[in-house]
Amino acid sequence: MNYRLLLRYLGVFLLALALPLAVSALWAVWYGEWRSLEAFLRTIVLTVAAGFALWGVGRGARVRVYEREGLALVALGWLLIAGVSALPYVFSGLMDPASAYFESMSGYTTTGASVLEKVEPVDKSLLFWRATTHWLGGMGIIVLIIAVLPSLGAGGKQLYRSEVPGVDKTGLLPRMQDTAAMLYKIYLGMTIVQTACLAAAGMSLFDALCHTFASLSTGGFSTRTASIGAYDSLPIEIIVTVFTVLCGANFGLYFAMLQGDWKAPLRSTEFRWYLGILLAATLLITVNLIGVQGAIPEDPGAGTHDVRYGFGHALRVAVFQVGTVMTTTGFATDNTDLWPYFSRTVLIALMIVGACSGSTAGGTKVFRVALIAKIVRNQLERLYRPKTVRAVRMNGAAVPLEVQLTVYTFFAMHVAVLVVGTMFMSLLGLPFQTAFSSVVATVNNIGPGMELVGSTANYACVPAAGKWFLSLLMVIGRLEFFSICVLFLPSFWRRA
Amino acid sequence: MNYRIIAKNLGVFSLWVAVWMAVSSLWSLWYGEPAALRALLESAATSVLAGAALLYLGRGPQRRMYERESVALVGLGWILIAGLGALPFWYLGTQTFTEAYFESMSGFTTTGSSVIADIEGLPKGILFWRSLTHWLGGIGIVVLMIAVIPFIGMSGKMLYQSEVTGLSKDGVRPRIKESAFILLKVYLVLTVIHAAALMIAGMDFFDALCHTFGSLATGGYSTRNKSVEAFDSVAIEGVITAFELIGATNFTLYYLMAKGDWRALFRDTEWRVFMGIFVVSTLLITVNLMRVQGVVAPEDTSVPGALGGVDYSCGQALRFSSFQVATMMTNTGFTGADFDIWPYFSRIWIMLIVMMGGCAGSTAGGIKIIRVVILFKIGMQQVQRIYRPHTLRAIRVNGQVVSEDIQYSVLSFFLVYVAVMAFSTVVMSFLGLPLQSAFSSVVACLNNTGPGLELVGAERNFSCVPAAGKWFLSLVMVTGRLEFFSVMVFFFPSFWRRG
Repeated sequence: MNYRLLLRYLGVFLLALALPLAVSALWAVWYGEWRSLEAFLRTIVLTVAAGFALWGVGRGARVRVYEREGLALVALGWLLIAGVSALPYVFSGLMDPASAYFESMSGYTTTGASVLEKVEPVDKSLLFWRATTHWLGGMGIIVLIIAVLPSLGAGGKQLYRSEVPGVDKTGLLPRMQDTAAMLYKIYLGMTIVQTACLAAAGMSLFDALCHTFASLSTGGFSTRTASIGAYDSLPIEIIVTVFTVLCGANFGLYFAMLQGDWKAPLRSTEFRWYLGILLAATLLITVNLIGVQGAIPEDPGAGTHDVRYGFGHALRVAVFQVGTVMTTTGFATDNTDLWPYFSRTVLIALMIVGACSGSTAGGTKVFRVALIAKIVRNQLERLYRPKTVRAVRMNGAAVPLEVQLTVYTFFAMHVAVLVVGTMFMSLLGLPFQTAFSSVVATVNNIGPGMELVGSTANYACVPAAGKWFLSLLMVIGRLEFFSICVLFLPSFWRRA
Repeated sequence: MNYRIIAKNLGVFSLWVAVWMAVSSLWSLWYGEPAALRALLESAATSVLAGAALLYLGRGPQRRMYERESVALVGLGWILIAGLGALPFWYLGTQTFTEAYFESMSGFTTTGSSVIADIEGLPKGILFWRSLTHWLGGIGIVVLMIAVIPFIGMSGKMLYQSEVTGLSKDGVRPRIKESAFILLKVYLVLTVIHAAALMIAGMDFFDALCHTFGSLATGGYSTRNKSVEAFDSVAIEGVITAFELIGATNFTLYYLMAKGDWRALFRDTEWRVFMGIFVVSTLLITVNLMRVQGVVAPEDTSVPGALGGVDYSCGQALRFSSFQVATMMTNTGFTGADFDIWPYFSRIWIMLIVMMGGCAGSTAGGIKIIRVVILFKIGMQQVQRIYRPHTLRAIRVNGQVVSEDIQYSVLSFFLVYVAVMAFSTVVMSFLGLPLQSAFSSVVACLNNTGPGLELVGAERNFSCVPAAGKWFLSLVMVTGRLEFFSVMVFFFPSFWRRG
């Protein structure tokens, strides 16, 4: 294990962080938030100092990044950067360390679970920093580093593989730097377009930027306590839904489309399943909601004594909530805790499925779900037709056995983590539904869960130990289990 | 689908059920219970009629029985026999047919969940039949049938596969009838020893027999309302614990030991892990029980995980924890204490070991320890492959390589298990049970354990479950017992179609 190299690159990550911190500091100046400005400046100084120190220690390291270094870098980098990014919250007195780390990790893993009970009173610069952590996490800070640090060369491929699953199927450019650059351009382009749209729809520039950061990264932090529901604006909801759904699809497809291959999304099995599930879930929930007693009247002047979902209202909230949950974003326009049991169950299922691979979303990923469904069907058939040999196909090609096994194991690990996690959170005293949904919402990087951590609530009530645990779950989910699990194996750290 | 041969076998099963019902009626004769005697004899007569009808349907020259027929036979057999087994309860007049079927299925799948509120109020003949269903289900009615009924012959091999899971051990002979006979002998010897031990520990003959049936088959039906807690005897609890552990061990190991290989048991990875889990769980729960001393009133739920007024000393904690751990991890389900009032950690840990279950090739339920071991090793290998992508290290258990096919089926099993558990919990919630009860009722039935938590907890029963829920849980019980696939294929039309 090339420790010097690790330290050197971690140092570089820290130094790079100074730039976004400075941007947030500028907002503090703009709004005259002196306490926060001080917090940012202190953080910048610390980060730059630590960055230089690590870089210095790592000087002269052999620059060959193998799988091991790549993996360690991704995992440690994530943990470290989340830690450093938590400092502004702590220094400004807004949160205690456990909550700050939770919020910061929630940002980078694009989860969007928050400990803040009221968002509006918080300093704008801190809110901007919060949204920035989403945006940065969105494409994986690591991909950014690959584009900026050419010296990684071929070894960077391992980092890339760990960061963007499933992408190698769509024929990206052979040089990692070029691929990363292209993907980042797409991301940047969408950022500009969505900000403009939201501003046109009536948001202030500040709000538009923050919400754009949160939707493109499928994160979910808002500048309002009531999330998108606070605006009560159909155009805004549509814009946000469109962009989050776009970002829930495989970026490699957009890449292919830009190269001229317009039909790429239609050929992708995953994309077809993705759209299919979105449509089916929306339909089911719309039908289930019609006639149900709701909490928020569509017409504010109508009074609250007999509020029932009409078709239009049901469709509107269903589309938005399904979109925001499946893409693991986590905005809210309605209090889903009051929804009927069936609709809530559909939402939980969507949380676990997640969106497409190669996107900024979380969850198990649609291609794994599709693959597993096909495998299970095959297995069942084998039981009474043992001589049948039917290959499992995705995108028209047969899926090799090792890949099937890996995917299967992934699912099993996911389930095991859900079970153990729920038990742990119950142990800390949380009631069952809260414990379970807090684990589902963090491992799948969605944000709000149900009951005590529901869409109108927050994670403030979770004990400190629980916040650390959930932070760990967030990064485990984001890095798709294996990358973090390796840190716990002694053989990983041993010499060759 | 060769329906004739299925009907023929089902007919034979029915006749055997009649025989055992007649045996139970002897107890009613002994204790002078006219109502029960009539109920049992009428049930026996009905079973004979059913058997005769099925044999008639299945008459004629016999063709081969393939996988499809075996799978169908196992599933249908269980469902039919549970139905016949329900008759004594139903004819007696104290239960509705729904309740009777639930109780019977719970018996034959060695689950041990009961809808009967006052067990001690039942006639002894009926109680005997109830416990007997455990014993019969225990080794798989099917294996018994293979040993005793000659005309299934070689094609019975398929049935054996569906019934006794786990990696094949060397030395279990390919001739199913012979090995089944040996296993049957082992089972009988253990039954005798266990009953004798219980009588020495202080139980009367009737109770000893019934509890032996419940414990060796890892079922859990008792003759007392408070289950084993009613006896308040460390000796009895110890004997039962020992034989539960014996019943939850792979029976092929006993076959090997009977053939002279005494060390076979101790060399077995699965058994070692199984005993390891037992020891560790007992220790953990003992500590947990001691740490939370009860100065809290039973109704006070403000202190999470408090024991509600119960004060456990070290010895008591050890006693209750070891008994409960053993009975739950072997999916038996006796109650030595009301674990519903135990702290959070203990309850959660108990749920966990219930789900892991006992050893493959035994009467226990759950995922089975061997699968847990394999799943763990698969996970480790996948994680290691990330940074050692060129390693070709195979997964081994007991020195044998675990092929990719087996890895697949183990992973599939786990996923189907979780999916069924989730789906069933949703269904039970839908039917009106609060979440903890819904979840634990499913865990209890799917793993063939018996008691759950809250409304279906240790000191209560399943009578509060709505009728639809009882039918659903009966299905869940047999699904778990037959390890899913055998029951799930019933829902595929192509399974029933010709060719």
